[in-house]
Amino acid sequence: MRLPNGGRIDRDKPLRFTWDGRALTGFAGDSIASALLANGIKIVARSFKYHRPRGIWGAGVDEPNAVVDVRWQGQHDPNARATLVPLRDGMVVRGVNAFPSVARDLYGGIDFFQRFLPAGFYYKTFMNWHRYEPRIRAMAGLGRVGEATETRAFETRHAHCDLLIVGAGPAGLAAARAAAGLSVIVADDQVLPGGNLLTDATEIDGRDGLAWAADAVAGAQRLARTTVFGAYDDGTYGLIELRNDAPAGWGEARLWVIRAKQVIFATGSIERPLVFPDNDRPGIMSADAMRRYLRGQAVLPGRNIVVATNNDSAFATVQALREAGAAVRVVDLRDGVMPLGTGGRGGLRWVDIGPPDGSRRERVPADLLAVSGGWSPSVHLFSQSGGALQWDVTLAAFLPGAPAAGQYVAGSITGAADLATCLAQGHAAGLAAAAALGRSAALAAPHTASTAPATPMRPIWRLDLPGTRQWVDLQNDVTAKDVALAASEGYRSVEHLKRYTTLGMATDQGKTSNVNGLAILAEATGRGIDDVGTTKFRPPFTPIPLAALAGSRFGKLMAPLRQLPVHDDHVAAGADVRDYGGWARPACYPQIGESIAAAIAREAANARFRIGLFDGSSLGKIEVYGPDAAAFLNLMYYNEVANLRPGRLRYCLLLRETGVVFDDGVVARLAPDRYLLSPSSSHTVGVLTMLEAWHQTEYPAMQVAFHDTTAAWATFAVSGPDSRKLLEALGTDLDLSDQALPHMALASGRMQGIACRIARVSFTGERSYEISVPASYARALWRRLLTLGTPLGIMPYGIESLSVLRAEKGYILIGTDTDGMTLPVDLGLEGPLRTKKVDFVGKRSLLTPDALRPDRRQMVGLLPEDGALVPAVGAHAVETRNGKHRSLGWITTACTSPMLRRSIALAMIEGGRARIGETVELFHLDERSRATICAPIFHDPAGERLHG
Amino acid sequence: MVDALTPHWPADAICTVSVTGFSATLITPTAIHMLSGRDQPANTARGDDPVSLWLSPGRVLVVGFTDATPPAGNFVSDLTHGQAVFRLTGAALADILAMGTSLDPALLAPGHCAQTLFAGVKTLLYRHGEALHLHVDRPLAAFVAAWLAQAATALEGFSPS
Repeated sequence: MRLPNGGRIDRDKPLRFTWDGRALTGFAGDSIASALLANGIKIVARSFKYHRPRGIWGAGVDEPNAVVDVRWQGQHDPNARATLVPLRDGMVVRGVNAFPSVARDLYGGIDFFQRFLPAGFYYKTFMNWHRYEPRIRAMAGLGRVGEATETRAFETRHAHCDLLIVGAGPAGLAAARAAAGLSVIVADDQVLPGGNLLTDATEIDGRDGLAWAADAVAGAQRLARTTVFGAYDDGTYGLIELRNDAPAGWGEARLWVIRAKQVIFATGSIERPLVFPDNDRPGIMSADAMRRYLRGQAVLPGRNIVVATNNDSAFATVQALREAGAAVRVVDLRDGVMPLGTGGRGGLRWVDIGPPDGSRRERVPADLLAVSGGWSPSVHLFSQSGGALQWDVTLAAFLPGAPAAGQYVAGSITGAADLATCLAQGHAAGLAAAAALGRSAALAAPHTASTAPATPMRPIWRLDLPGTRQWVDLQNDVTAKDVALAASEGYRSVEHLKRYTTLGMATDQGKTSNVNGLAILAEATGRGIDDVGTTKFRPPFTPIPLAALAGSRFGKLMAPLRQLPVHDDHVAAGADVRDYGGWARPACYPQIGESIAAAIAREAANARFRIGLFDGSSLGKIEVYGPDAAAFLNLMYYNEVANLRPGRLRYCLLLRETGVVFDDGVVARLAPDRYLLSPSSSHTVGVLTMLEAWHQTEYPAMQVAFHDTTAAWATFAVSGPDSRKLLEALGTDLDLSDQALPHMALASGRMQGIACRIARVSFTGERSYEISVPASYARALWRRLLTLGTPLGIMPYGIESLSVLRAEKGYILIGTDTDGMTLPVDLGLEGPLRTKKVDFVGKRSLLTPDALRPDRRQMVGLLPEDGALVPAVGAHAVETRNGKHRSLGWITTACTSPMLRRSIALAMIEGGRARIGETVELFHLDERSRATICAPIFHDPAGERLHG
Repeated sequence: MVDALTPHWPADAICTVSVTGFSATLITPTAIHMLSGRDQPANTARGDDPVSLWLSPGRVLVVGFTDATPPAGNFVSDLTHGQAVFRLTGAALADILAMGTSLDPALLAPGHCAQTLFAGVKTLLYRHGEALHLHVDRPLAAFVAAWLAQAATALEGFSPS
């Protein structure tokens, strides 16, 4: 039913596409919706709940029915709004939520049971929702996401502007023209600017409306096919642009985040349906949409047309239809008549017309029914950005209240119905936005012929005709009766109504249905519509692809993972590299054919008995300097650090104000006024933040400063009895003798002219040295250590192997062996609390009754009875009293000890230190075992190997 | 025998993006020092070589491109090997910036510097001649290089106008 002439379509460019397998043709300039209508397709969808046949209602973003599955050139959108997608050659379009097709849907039978499926049906029937959910979800819903993984990246763009204009209709364009000179971005969801000018030929300033439109926007950045979906704080707006020509490897959707100094909401308005029996039949369309298809794509989807309205706007459609040669019967509620029912299988055949009380009715044959139930201004963004709404009785619509500073509204969002007013409002808003930024221009307002004043509209929200189904929300299948039922069940709040009936919760977010629904609720509860109010408008205004929000954050760019300076060498050595707190670090280095467990055991034993090499470059290195450095750090650390001698190290804890252990690490004193802190790898930023926060907020007068130099240095730990031999072979200018460099000492020097630091510190329990060089020299040093260490039997060891070594020594890992309740005393580290004379962060919390409870969980060791069984981390130790089980605590670390050749564990056990020697029962996922509590150290309790 | 100690950057960090309108390369300034105890107006870049970049009250980063001499001061830390510096140039630089950061490019006029998220990670940005310099912690160099390489593919069809 394409007219032979007219429309902005290119008849020389036919586009082939398929609809549910049928080959059809459209033209360049068609949307999917207009092409379907031009081909006489009436049923384009099945409704969400009852599987009722549905046709195209609208022509834009408000479309509740025409959600289709679109495939084109490898792209797949399972929930495309047919009204918004330009037709492309070769598109494969299918209906969704139906089997085998929307035209012959076997699930359509559900509608016969509608009497048993009222509002809240799910809540009332499916009490054990989890049992029914899979089947119900399979039947309900929209399109199905494909199995294919998204491989394209999606671009994100940031932009800043003086003025963002939302909507390129007459008002938005007049505003852009008036604000010339500012940096202006105009966003509109259509391909061409113009809004209604695209539909209705108009003269502005004596010129063709579209030519005027192109000039008006010439000075601005125009974003076509772009929807502003959200208004956020501080003038930030989220937009989705759909591009036709995305570069290879990039998705068509582009996310814009725009920070605008000012905004003009020229968002227009949305035509509402009328609520009457069987108003969901395919062939019933928005009057405005019908005119848009007619003028835009020369589509006349019927010949025998009834136009039902309660306001003047539909008469433009009546005129357009008559010009196109259609027979039109006007049914104007203001004349006391409206549709009372419709009929026809597979599409409209007749309309019953009569007074709203149904006292008489006339059956009129018709293949198309155009409806206008009034207009709802698109106040969504205005409301999101904090604007208040006011119910206007005359227009029966929520209008924007007074805009905030820097915000303007113009056009039919204000309820303006004629072009001259829209242009004048846009012009005024544009000038005001320019003036606010100090630019005044003497520019005449655009001129167009005025139209006659409108006759007031007459709202009617539903018909009192029992036994009929009058649809309010077409996408979620909510009827006037459902709304009334919800009201009678006590759902008086519009927000409760929404959640109970699902009114407005579909992907169209109730753009056509909300006002009708809440008006019916107002009637049913005897309140005014302004008392009922509207549901909260939230982003996004339209559905946006999640992929567009993900952007390029997948694969290698999924998360910014930090690399060690010799990452390449680790990979080349076969390391099993994993994410440890944001660092890509080797877990271990399995050899070909070797299991992870075997690799860990091999590496751990080698570091114990021979020599191991560990990349500890991620370990924090915060330099602290100042005359007050010692005093300040002493306020921060649990341990005494002011009496540390230069060149010496101390293992220290940092606590939160709550007394909970926040971090542990080695504090080195380099000079009286200079320290070097080594927080754990994933806590470095946190520790630096803590130091800065305390310095800046509590002790700003103290002279101290902090530099994070973590990344500047590579640090390798050499561990094992032969470690000193290897260090000596390196050729540094340092005295590495035990007298000059005892355990817990540090020396700085040079190695072949390169700065280096050697700290004698151990996390393995063996003689160990940590050697640091500038990070660029990491590879040279790493390779040199491996080469020089080969005669000594050197092997690199990874974090998991280190974790075994430290577990044998009972050295804790913060966050593994501790949690958000662990105090130092729980770890057996009560010394500083007793002896440290000065205050420190967290001290008061260590003296509360709770901190002093004798039954606190304390760190202990566990020796499982079955030494071959490694108990699960997280397994509970349970006691049984009077037949009831009770947890005494849990395992925090468990592994096989290469030293003991059996399983060991660390655990937090209630009153654990007093229970040493006792046997406890371990319980995990219905499996039981037993273990003996011991001191949390399994190897070299005297620490002789650290010095030997 | 073992090799002499020679500086090295991992392959992934060595960024060699070059497309129409945009190129990015990893450069190695002679010296980068963090200095506490010197102040200058917030978010400014002073000088050219060395350039002194404001980090926070009383703290600057001094970047030398020819001279390795550390700046005078009581608390100076050598970050020469701790930061990766990418030199970004081209007519499409504004597009790459718009993809990478929400910062208003007006705040990156010559003589200014900014610490902001770029590609989701903490960076320091400033103009240096024709180019924009991007400093990032060395461990994140490979990530940023990969990000720049991918972003450059979005410039397909870019034509300077």
